[in-house]
Amino acid sequence: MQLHQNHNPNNETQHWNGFKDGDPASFEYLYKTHSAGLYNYGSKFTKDKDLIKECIQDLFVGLWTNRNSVGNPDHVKNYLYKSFRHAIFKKTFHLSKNETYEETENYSFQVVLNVEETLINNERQLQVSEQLQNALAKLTARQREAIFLKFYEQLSYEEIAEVMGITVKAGYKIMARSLDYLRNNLSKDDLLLLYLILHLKLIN
Amino acid sequence: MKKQLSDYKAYTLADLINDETFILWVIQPDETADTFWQNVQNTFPNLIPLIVSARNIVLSMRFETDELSTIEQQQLWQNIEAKTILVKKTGRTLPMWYRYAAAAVVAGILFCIGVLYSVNQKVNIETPYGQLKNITLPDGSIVTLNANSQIKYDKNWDKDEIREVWISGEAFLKVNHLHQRGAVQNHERFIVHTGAVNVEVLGTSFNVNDRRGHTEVALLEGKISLDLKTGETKPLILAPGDIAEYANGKLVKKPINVAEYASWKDGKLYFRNVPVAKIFDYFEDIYGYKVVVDDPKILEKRLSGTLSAKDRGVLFKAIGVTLNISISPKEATNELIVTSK
Repeated sequence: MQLHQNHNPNNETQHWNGFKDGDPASFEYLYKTHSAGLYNYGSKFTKDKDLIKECIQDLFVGLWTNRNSVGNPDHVKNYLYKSFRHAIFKKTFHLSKNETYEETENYSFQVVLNVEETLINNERQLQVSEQLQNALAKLTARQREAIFLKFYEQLSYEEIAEVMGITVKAGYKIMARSLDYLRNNLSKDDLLLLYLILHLKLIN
Repeated sequence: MKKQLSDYKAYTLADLINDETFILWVIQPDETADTFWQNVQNTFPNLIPLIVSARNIVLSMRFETDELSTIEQQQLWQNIEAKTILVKKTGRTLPMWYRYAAAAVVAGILFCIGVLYSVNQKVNIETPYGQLKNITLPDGSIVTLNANSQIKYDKNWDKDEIREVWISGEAFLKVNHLHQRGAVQNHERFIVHTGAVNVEVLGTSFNVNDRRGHTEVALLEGKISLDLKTGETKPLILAPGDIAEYANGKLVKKPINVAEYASWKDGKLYFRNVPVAKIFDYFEDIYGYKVVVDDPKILEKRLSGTLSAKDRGVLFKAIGVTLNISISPKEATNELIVTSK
């Protein structure tokens, strides 16, 4: 069970302003707070660890270089995730500087649900987690990403829309469709467990 | 958590898992919750086994996190630091002559770097899983790079130097023939370096496969000479139609139909009595899957025929039908699941 580090948004804004004024400590705070989360998010798109690290590096170096011209985002985290997502797409699709990435369904986003060692002996649990995994695997990358952002990163629909570059309405639609799919394709017990897994993150 | 104690009497496993107070107690127990749940268990002893298994389930399910290790995080920060906050302007003012001198030195260094760079600049091209690439070398020779492969060469080729490329993975090369007559000049030579073998050619078409510590060179046209990096043995000369294989420190010639070896570049796969194990190795190399086989006997089967490799789904299906097995990619874990029917 991983507990999510709780960010204090007020603190965050303070550090954002500090960073814009060229304060190294604030800049380091932003890196320390978000690098692990960004890395985890990035690793769902690609298995290429160096590429992910490169994107994180480029993101922060870019921020520092442009600190006089960057705006004041409402949510620092969303802003970082969005820019980072864009950087990953640019790198994985080998786009040049001026090309933009046309939003398509054509990318990969893999999440793994894990059953911890204690239950490995229990066949039923293994079976269940495999079924859950299979059900998730049948969703589109976009649906899996929305689920990840909603339940793992605990973003609101507005925030998901911002990060993924879609409308809020489309965000709702994607989520409703994926939950519908899961509802129709999982037994009651399995759905309960999935609900549990997803829900746990909400409580944390 | 203000539920009546009696509410718990008929609780099922599902109810427990669905109960947020229960989940909270398991994840973040505190004294109040401890007392409360102890009370529940004392009142309804029949719930105890349910609570134990519900606890286990709650504690065991999670999203997998891809961790950035502390060391990696620090290293990455050092890189960022070096490019950002450590780049500081010094406040001191320097005497004018000092500045000019410094500028001159910097210009000198830049010039030297520029010269070195333009001479030594390396081109490095890599292909991802499942994608081919055509590359034209500075001399006009053409390389088709198979998926999951890499080629390196100097950006500029000197008129008096040997043409050299470094390849890992698999590539098909069509080398421009520069030698006309007389003694062979340096710039007319062309050398492909792989892990253990150097391939020297004049002008030919051939296929190089350097994977899993194993090098194979198949010659379609022309003439090439193979040389071990260790330089211990005499170079091996290949004629069209020959295949040379390097394994366990030895270079041997094999008589096989070479056309099959380069068929991948046309989006086709030729198999002639090829063990299935070898085909799965190929899928791992090209598409990046980990192949998982439920029955090792499948690996001993052999396959002959021509298949289109353009659509991997169709390819897997075709092989599956032929061998009466099922081959299905499992994208979540990046595995290729092979089961006997």
